[in-house]
Amino acid sequence: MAKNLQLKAARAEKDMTQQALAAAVQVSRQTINAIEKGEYNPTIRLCRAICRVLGKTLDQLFGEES
Amino acid sequence: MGTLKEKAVQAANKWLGPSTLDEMQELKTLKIYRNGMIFTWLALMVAIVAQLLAGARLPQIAGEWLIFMAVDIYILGAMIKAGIWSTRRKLKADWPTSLWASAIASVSTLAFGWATSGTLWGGLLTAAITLVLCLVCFAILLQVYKIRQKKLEQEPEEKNDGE
Repeated sequence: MAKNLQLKAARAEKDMTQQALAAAVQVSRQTINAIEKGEYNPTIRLCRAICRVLGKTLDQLFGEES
Repeated sequence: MGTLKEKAVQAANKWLGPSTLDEMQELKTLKIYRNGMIFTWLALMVAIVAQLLAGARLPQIAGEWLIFMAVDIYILGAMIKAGIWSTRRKLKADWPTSLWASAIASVSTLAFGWATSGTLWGGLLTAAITLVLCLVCFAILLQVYKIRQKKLEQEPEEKNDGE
Protein backbone atom coordinates (compact mmCIF):
# COMPACT_ATOMS: atom_id res chain seq x y z
CA MET A 1 0.00 0.00 0.00
CA ALA A 2 1.32 3.46 -0.90
CA LYS A 3 2.13 6.09 1.71
CA ASN A 4 -0.62 8.59 2.42
CA LEU A 5 1.30 11.81 1.84
CA GLN A 6 -1.90 13.86 1.49
CA LEU A 7 -2.81 13.07 5.07
CA LYS A 8 0.65 13.99 6.31
CA ALA A 9 0.53 17.28 4.38
CA ALA A 10 -2.96 18.14 5.63
CA ARG A 11 -1.89 17.44 9.20
CA ALA A 12 1.18 19.65 8.78
CA GLU A 13 -1.05 22.39 7.31
CA LYS A 14 -3.08 22.37 10.51
CA ASP A 15 0.14 22.20 12.55
CA MET A 16 -1.04 19.05 14.26
CA THR A 17 1.13 16.24 15.57
CA GLN A 18 0.16 12.61 14.99
CA GLN A 19 -0.64 12.47 18.71
CA ALA A 20 -3.00 15.48 18.47
CA LEU A 21 -4.81 14.08 15.43
CA ALA A 22 -5.07 10.69 17.11
CA ALA A 23 -6.61 12.27 20.21
CA ALA A 24 -9.04 14.30 18.07
CA VAL A 25 -10.36 11.22 16.29
CA GLN A 26 -10.05 8.95 19.35
CA VAL A 27 -7.55 6.42 18.09
CA SER A 28 -3.97 5.61 19.06
CA ARG A 29 -0.98 7.45 17.57
CA GLN A 30 0.25 4.17 16.11
CA THR A 31 -2.95 3.96 14.04
CA ILE A 32 -2.41 7.43 12.52
CA ASN A 33 1.23 6.52 11.92
CA ALA A 34 0.23 3.27 10.20
CA ILE A 35 -2.29 5.11 7.96
CA GLU A 36 0.35 7.66 6.91
CA LYS A 37 2.86 4.91 6.23
CA GLY A 38 0.27 3.04 4.16
CA GLU A 39 0.35 0.05 6.49
CA TYR A 40 -3.28 0.28 7.54
CA ASN A 41 -6.42 0.91 5.51
CA PRO A 42 -8.86 2.72 7.84
CA THR A 43 -12.61 2.19 7.89
CA ILE A 44 -14.83 4.78 6.22
CA ARG A 45 -15.94 5.90 9.70
CA LEU A 46 -12.36 6.78 10.70
CA CYS A 47 -11.64 8.34 7.28
CA ARG A 48 -14.61 10.67 7.75
CA ALA A 49 -13.56 11.59 11.28
CA ILE A 50 -10.05 12.47 10.07
CA CYS A 51 -11.47 14.53 7.19
CA ARG A 52 -13.74 16.43 9.60
CA VAL A 53 -10.84 17.29 11.91
CA LEU A 54 -8.50 18.33 9.09
CA GLY A 55 -11.18 20.16 7.10
CA LYS A 56 -10.66 18.13 3.93
CA THR A 57 -12.84 15.93 1.74
CA LEU A 58 -12.52 12.16 1.49
CA ASP A 59 -11.23 12.55 -2.03
CA GLN A 60 -8.54 14.99 -0.96
CA LEU A 61 -7.18 12.72 1.76
CA PHE A 62 -8.05 9.21 0.65
CA GLY A 63 -8.75 9.54 -3.08
CA GLU A 64 -6.43 7.90 -5.57
CA GLU A 65 -3.56 10.11 -6.66
CA SER A 66 -3.46 10.83 -10.38
CA MET B 1 -33.16 -8.90 23.65
CA GLY B 2 -29.84 -9.30 21.90
CA THR B 3 -27.89 -12.11 20.33
CA LEU B 4 -25.57 -14.25 22.44
CA LYS B 5 -22.59 -12.30 21.09
CA GLU B 6 -24.16 -8.96 22.06
CA LYS B 7 -24.93 -10.28 25.52
CA ALA B 8 -21.32 -11.48 25.89
CA VAL B 9 -20.03 -8.04 24.84
CA GLN B 10 -22.40 -6.34 27.32
CA ALA B 11 -21.24 -8.66 30.12
CA ALA B 12 -17.57 -8.03 29.26
CA ASN B 13 -18.19 -4.25 29.21
CA LYS B 14 -19.95 -4.45 32.57
CA TRP B 15 -17.27 -6.48 34.34
CA LEU B 16 -14.08 -5.47 32.56
CA GLY B 17 -14.98 -2.01 31.26
CA PRO B 18 -15.36 -1.02 27.59
CA SER B 19 -12.66 -1.81 25.04
CA THR B 20 -9.70 0.56 25.01
CA LEU B 21 -8.62 -0.53 21.54
CA ASP B 22 -9.17 1.41 18.33
CA GLU B 23 -10.10 -0.26 15.04
CA MET B 24 -6.51 -1.04 13.95
CA GLN B 25 -5.63 -2.47 17.35
CA GLU B 26 -8.81 -4.58 17.28
CA LEU B 27 -7.76 -5.93 13.88
CA LYS B 28 -4.24 -6.66 15.13
CA THR B 29 -5.67 -8.40 18.19
CA LEU B 30 -7.79 -10.61 15.94
CA LYS B 31 -4.70 -11.49 13.88
CA ILE B 32 -2.79 -12.38 17.08
CA TYR B 33 -5.73 -14.54 18.23
CA ARG B 34 -5.82 -16.22 14.81
CA ASN B 35 -2.10 -17.02 14.91
CA GLY B 36 -2.47 -18.32 18.46
CA MET B 37 -5.42 -20.44 17.38
CA ILE B 38 -3.50 -21.93 14.41
CA PHE B 39 -0.52 -22.71 16.65
CA THR B 40 -2.72 -24.31 19.33
CA TRP B 41 -4.60 -26.36 16.72
CA LEU B 42 -1.39 -27.69 15.18
CA ALA B 43 0.23 -28.34 18.58
CA LEU B 44 -2.86 -30.22 19.76
CA MET B 45 -2.89 -32.36 16.61
CA VAL B 46 0.83 -33.15 16.98
CA ALA B 47 0.29 -34.00 20.68
CA ILE B 48 -2.57 -36.39 19.83
CA VAL B 49 -0.65 -38.12 17.02
CA ALA B 50 2.53 -38.37 19.13
CA GLN B 51 0.65 -39.89 22.05
CA LEU B 52 -1.10 -42.42 19.80
CA LEU B 53 2.21 -43.37 18.17
CA ALA B 54 3.72 -43.78 21.63
CA GLY B 55 1.06 -46.36 22.39
CA ALA B 56 -1.53 -44.30 24.29
CA ARG B 57 -5.06 -45.70 24.28
CA LEU B 58 -8.03 -43.61 23.15
CA PRO B 59 -9.38 -42.97 26.71
CA GLN B 60 -5.98 -41.53 27.63
CA ILE B 61 -6.22 -38.85 24.95
CA ALA B 62 -9.98 -38.29 25.25
CA GLY B 63 -9.58 -34.76 26.67
CA GLU B 64 -7.33 -33.52 23.88
CA TRP B 65 -9.44 -35.28 21.25
CA LEU B 66 -12.69 -33.76 22.54
CA ILE B 67 -11.21 -30.23 22.58
CA PHE B 68 -9.77 -30.75 19.08
CA MET B 69 -13.10 -31.95 17.70
CA ALA B 70 -15.11 -29.24 19.49
CA VAL B 71 -12.87 -26.54 17.98
CA ASP B 72 -13.12 -28.11 14.52
CA ILE B 73 -16.89 -28.40 14.70
CA TYR B 74 -17.18 -24.77 15.86
CA ILE B 75 -14.96 -23.50 13.01
CA LEU B 76 -16.77 -25.63 10.45
CA GLY B 77 -20.21 -24.51 11.66
CA ALA B 78 -19.24 -20.84 11.88
CA MET B 79 -17.65 -20.87 8.41
CA ILE B 80 -20.68 -22.52 6.79
CA LYS B 81 -23.03 -20.14 8.62
CA ALA B 82 -21.02 -17.26 7.17
CA GLY B 83 -21.19 -18.83 3.69
CA ILE B 84 -17.41 -19.37 3.54
CA TRP B 85 -15.96 -22.65 2.30
CA SER B 86 -12.27 -21.86 2.24
CA THR B 87 -9.89 -18.95 2.49
CA ARG B 88 -7.99 -20.22 -0.55
CA ARG B 89 -9.30 -19.72 -4.06
CA LYS B 90 -8.01 -23.08 -5.30
CA LEU B 91 -9.85 -25.02 -2.57
CA LYS B 92 -13.26 -24.91 -4.23
CA ALA B 93 -16.50 -26.32 -2.89
CA ASP B 94 -16.72 -29.09 -5.47
CA TRP B 95 -16.26 -32.84 -5.83
CA PRO B 96 -12.76 -32.92 -7.39
CA THR B 97 -11.35 -30.86 -4.49
CA SER B 98 -13.23 -33.01 -1.97
CA LEU B 99 -11.85 -36.17 -3.58
CA TRP B 100 -8.31 -34.81 -3.42
CA ALA B 101 -8.69 -33.77 0.22
CA SER B 102 -10.17 -37.16 1.14
CA ALA B 103 -7.37 -38.98 -0.70
CA ILE B 104 -4.71 -36.94 1.13
CA ALA B 105 -6.38 -37.68 4.49
CA SER B 106 -6.63 -41.35 3.56
CA VAL B 107 -2.96 -41.65 2.53
CA SER B 108 -1.80 -39.85 5.70
CA THR B 109 -3.79 -42.24 7.88
CA LEU B 110 -2.38 -45.25 5.96
CA ALA B 111 1.07 -44.75 7.50
CA PHE B 112 -0.45 -43.91 10.86
CA GLY B 113 -2.70 -46.98 10.88
CA TRP B 114 0.21 -49.15 9.75
CA ALA B 115 2.42 -47.84 12.57
CA THR B 116 -0.21 -48.19 15.31
CA SER B 117 -1.69 -51.53 14.25
CA GLY B 118 1.64 -53.06 13.18
CA THR B 119 0.23 -54.55 9.97
CA LEU B 120 -0.25 -53.22 6.45
CA TRP B 121 -3.84 -54.47 6.48
CA GLY B 122 -4.46 -52.40 9.63
CA GLY B 123 -3.16 -49.35 7.77
CA LEU B 124 -5.24 -50.10 4.66
CA LEU B 125 -8.36 -50.56 6.77
CA THR B 126 -7.78 -47.23 8.56
CA ALA B 127 -7.15 -45.52 5.22
CA ALA B 128 -10.29 -47.00 3.65
CA ILE B 129 -12.47 -46.00 6.60
CA THR B 130 -10.97 -42.48 6.54
CA LEU B 131 -11.63 -42.18 2.79
CA VAL B 132 -15.28 -43.22 3.13
CA LEU B 133 -15.86 -41.03 6.21
CA CYS B 134 -14.27 -38.01 4.55
CA LEU B 135 -16.35 -38.47 1.39
CA VAL B 136 -19.57 -38.80 3.40
CA CYS B 137 -18.68 -35.69 5.45
CA PHE B 138 -17.84 -33.73 2.29
CA ALA B 139 -21.10 -34.82 0.63
CA ILE B 140 -23.11 -33.53 3.58
CA LEU B 141 -21.06 -30.36 4.09
CA LEU B 142 -21.08 -29.44 0.39
CA GLN B 143 -24.85 -29.73 0.34
CA VAL B 144 -25.32 -27.68 3.54
CA TYR B 145 -22.80 -25.07 2.35
CA LYS B 146 -24.49 -24.65 -1.02
CA ILE B 147 -27.91 -24.23 0.59
CA ARG B 148 -26.52 -21.67 3.04
CA GLN B 149 -24.61 -19.75 0.39
CA LYS B 150 -27.68 -19.63 -1.85
CA LYS B 151 -29.75 -18.28 1.05
CA LEU B 152 -27.17 -15.57 1.85
CA GLU B 153 -26.83 -14.57 -1.80
CA GLN B 154 -30.59 -14.28 -2.21
CA GLU B 155 -31.20 -12.24 0.95
CA PRO B 156 -33.47 -9.34 0.01
CA GLU B 157 -32.28 -5.74 0.26
CA GLU B 158 -33.37 -3.77 3.31
CA LYS B 159 -36.14 -1.33 2.56
CA ASN B 160 -35.70 2.34 3.52
CA ASP B 161 -37.89 3.66 6.34
CA GLY B 162 -39.55 6.16 4.00
CA GLU B 163 -40.63 3.49 1.49
